[in-house]
Amino acid sequence: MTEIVNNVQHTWHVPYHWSYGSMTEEFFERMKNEKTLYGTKCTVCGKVMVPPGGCPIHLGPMEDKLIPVKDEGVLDCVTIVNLPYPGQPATPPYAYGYIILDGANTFFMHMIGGVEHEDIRVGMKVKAVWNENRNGDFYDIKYFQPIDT
Amino acid sequence: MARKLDWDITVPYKWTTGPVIGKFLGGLKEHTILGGKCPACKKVFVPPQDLCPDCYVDLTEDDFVELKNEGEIISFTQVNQNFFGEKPSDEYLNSRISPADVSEHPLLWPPEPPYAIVMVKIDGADTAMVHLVKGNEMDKLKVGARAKAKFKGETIGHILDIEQFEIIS
Repeated sequence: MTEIVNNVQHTWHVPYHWSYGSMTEEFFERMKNEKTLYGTKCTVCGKVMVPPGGCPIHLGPMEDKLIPVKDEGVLDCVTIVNLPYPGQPATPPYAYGYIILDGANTFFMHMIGGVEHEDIRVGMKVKAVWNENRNGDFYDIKYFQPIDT
Repeated sequence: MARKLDWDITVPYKWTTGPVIGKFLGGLKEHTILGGKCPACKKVFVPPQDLCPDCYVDLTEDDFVELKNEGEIISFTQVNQNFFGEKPSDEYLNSRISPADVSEHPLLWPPEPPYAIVMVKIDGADTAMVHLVKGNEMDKLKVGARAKAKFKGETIGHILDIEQFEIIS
């Protein structure tokens, strides 16, 4: 009797190059060199997008310079990741959150650390903890840590 | 200045084959090519499929016929360029697909060019299957040529249990 082979297992591997464009390139360079975050400002509604990008409502007209924002803000929502899966930025358990940075109108997504998970609250003030060795990417920030207000 | 990010998407996966493709792969493990035969219109599909596209009748693991390991080249595409560069090392892949392991999720990688992706219509089948012709066989490759499946010594129940098709005329 011929065996039924129930499954086939492999790995997908897709290399790619992402060309940043001038705004995002400067955004990462300034993260690396100045430990500061910048956004772009929509010329129609005046909202500030961090990381830099076109305003999704007004289809992208923006001031041609980066607007500085603070590396601290308000935690808008949070999730605790307990299960391991491929491609994770950290070993579980860790916390991920949406942060509205002071001066920005969009969510900035990053890890929440330096705090017990049961003490994390939506609405708490968090501030970026920067890495000493920075490569010009999002992981130049280690995580966002709650600060006293 | 860093103008671009070089990165990759690396994802382990598991494809559940079902009874029909599962039996076809089981046949390859035993060095045989099995065709799925529609119980209504008697068409033979290689590789088999769960559903006959003409009569919408389900095929089951009982609707199989054993075919010869030979067929005819219907068409082919010769590949001369290496699109993918160097194969990433298992060590690198393991660092990217953790907690899965590359020994259980091996990376498929194309052979060294030139090789050809061929459509082979197995004798007794009504459809053609996709496979490989490579190496010295490339010189003899043409549409209409007769080809014979060359099986690997060690088989696991995988489409690449057939190493390639060899041109026999």
